[in-house]
Amino acid sequence: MYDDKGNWIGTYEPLESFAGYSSPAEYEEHLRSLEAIKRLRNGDWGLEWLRAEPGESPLWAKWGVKAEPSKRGLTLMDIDRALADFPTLAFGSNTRATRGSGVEPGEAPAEWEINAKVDVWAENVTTLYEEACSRQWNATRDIEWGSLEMLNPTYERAFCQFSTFLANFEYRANDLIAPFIPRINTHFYEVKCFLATQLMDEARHSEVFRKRCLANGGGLGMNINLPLALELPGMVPSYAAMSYGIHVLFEGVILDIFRFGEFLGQNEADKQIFRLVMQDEARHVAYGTMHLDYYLQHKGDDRQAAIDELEAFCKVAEPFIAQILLLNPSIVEALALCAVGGDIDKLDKGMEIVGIMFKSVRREYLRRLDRSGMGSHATACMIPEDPPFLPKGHDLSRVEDELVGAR
Amino acid sequence: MTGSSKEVVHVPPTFPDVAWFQALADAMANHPDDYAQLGFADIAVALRITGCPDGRDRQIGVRFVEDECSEVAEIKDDPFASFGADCMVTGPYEVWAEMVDNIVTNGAADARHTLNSLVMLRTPLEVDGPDQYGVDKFYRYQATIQRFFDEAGAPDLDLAAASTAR
Repeated sequence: MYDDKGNWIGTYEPLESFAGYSSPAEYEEHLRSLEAIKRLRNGDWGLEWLRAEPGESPLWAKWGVKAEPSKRGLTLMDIDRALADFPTLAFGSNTRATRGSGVEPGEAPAEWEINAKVDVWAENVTTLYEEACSRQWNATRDIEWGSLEMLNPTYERAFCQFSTFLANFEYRANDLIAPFIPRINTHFYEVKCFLATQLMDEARHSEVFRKRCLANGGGLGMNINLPLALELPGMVPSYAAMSYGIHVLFEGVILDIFRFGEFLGQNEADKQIFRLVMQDEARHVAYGTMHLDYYLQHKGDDRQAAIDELEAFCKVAEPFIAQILLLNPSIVEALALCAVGGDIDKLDKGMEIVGIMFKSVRREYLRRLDRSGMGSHATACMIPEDPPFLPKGHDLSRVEDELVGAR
Repeated sequence: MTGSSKEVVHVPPTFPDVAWFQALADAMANHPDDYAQLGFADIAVALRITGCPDGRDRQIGVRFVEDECSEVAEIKDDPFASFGADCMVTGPYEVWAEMVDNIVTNGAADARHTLNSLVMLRTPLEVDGPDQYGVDKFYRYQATIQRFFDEAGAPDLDLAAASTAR
C-alpha cells in the first residue's frame, strides 16, 4: 500500500478487513482492487525490500553475512557470531520481527507480555536448543520394542500403573508451558524455540509411556485425579515462577523419577525408554536452573523481592508436587512393587527403596536451587526430609548396605 | 629368515588403565553414525576407582565433545580443577570390575549393571560434583555415556576382562 505521496506504507490490513466477504468471487474482486495487487499485475513492481540500503533502511538490517558452519553444522551459535546479534537486555520494540531482520512499515503492533531478557533468558538456552534438536529420538523406531518379554504379572501391572501416570502427567507439562510461548517477544526466539522442543519432548514422553503400557500384555492403569493441576496456571505469578515450578521443581522431580525408572527396568526396552526420557528431562532442568540463575543475577535491587516471590510460590508448589508426584499412594506402591520385582511380600523393602529415591529427589532439588542462586532453601523446603510413608527417622542406611550386598 | 626371533606377547588393555578407556574412545570413533544418532554431547566425567588391585585409587577423566570422545587421561589432582570435570563417579574397584566384566560377558550392561542403576541409590557407585548442574549433565548424556562403556562388550575389541587384573 502507498500513502498519498506515493510512499510505500506496507501491506498491513487490520484483521477485520479479512472478514465479511460473502463469496470467493467477492473476495477475488476485492483483491484485484488492491493497489499493491494492481501494481504486481501491471508490472509496476515495488521491490522496496530489494532496493533498501542494508543498515540504513529499516527494511533490511544487514547484508553480506556469511556464517561459517562449525563441526556440528550450521548452529544458532554460528549465525549469532556471524550476525554479531545477541539479545539485548530490555527490548522495547513491539514488532513481531525475528531478531536481526528488517521491518515492513505499518506493521501491526504486537503487545508482547514478556519483553525483558531477564525474565526468560538463560546463558545456555541457545546451545540447549541445538542439543534438543540433535538428541531428538523416535518412540516408534528407537526403542527395541522386540526386547520386551513376559514379566512377573504383578511387576508388569505396577510398571503399567507407573507408566500410565507418566503418560498422563507428561502431557500436563505441555498444558502449562504452551500458553507462555505466544506471550514471549520474538526477540528471544531461542527461548520460544527451546520451549517448542520441550513441548515435542513431553508429547513423545506421553507417547512412549502409553505405548509401553500396551506393548507387553498389560494395559493402561488408573488415571490419577489431578484437580490441582488445573488450578495451578492461575496461581503462577510470572514466567520466572512458571519456569521455576516447571523446569526446576516439577521436571527435577520427574528427572529423578525417570532415573528410578531406568533403575527398575528389567529389559533393554524399558532401560532405553527411561535413559532417553531422562536425557530430555535433564535438558529442561538445565534450562530452568540457568534461567533462574540469570534471572536472580540480573534483578539488581529487586533481587531479594524476586527471591521472596519465588519462596512464596515454593510454599504452594512444593506441597503440590510432593503430593501428586512423590506421595500419591498408587505411584509409591507401584514403584515399591517394581523395586522388589513384583514380590508383594517384600513390599516393605520396596517402600524403603522408594524412600531412598525420595531423599535423593529432595537433595538434588535443593542443590539445583543452590546453583541457581536461591541460597539455602533447605529449612524452608516444604518437601519433608524423611519420606512420610516410612516411620519418622527410619534408618535407610541398612537398606543401602543390603543393596550393595545384593549386587 | 635366519636368527632367533622374539615372540611379541600382546597384552590387551586392562581396566582401569588409560589404554583401556582409549580403546573405548577408538571404538566410539569407529561408530560415528551410532553416536551421531544419539546426538551431540558436551561433558567431562571423572571416574574414581578406589582400591585398585595395585592398592591405588585411580582417577580417569573422559571428555565427550560433539559426537566423539576427545580426551582420556589419568588425573592426579582434583578432577574438577585440573580436568574441568563436570561430575565424578566414585566407587570401589570391585564394583567397577563387576560392571566391566558384565559388559564384556553380555556384550552390553545387563539391567543391574547400567551406570544409572549403579549410581541411582548413591550406592554402590555415586555420582557427585561441585554443583548439581554438572551432575545433571551425567543424566543429560546418559545414553551416550552408557553406549561408550558398552563398547567394552564388542566382540572385536581386544580388552582384558577386569577380573584378570585381580
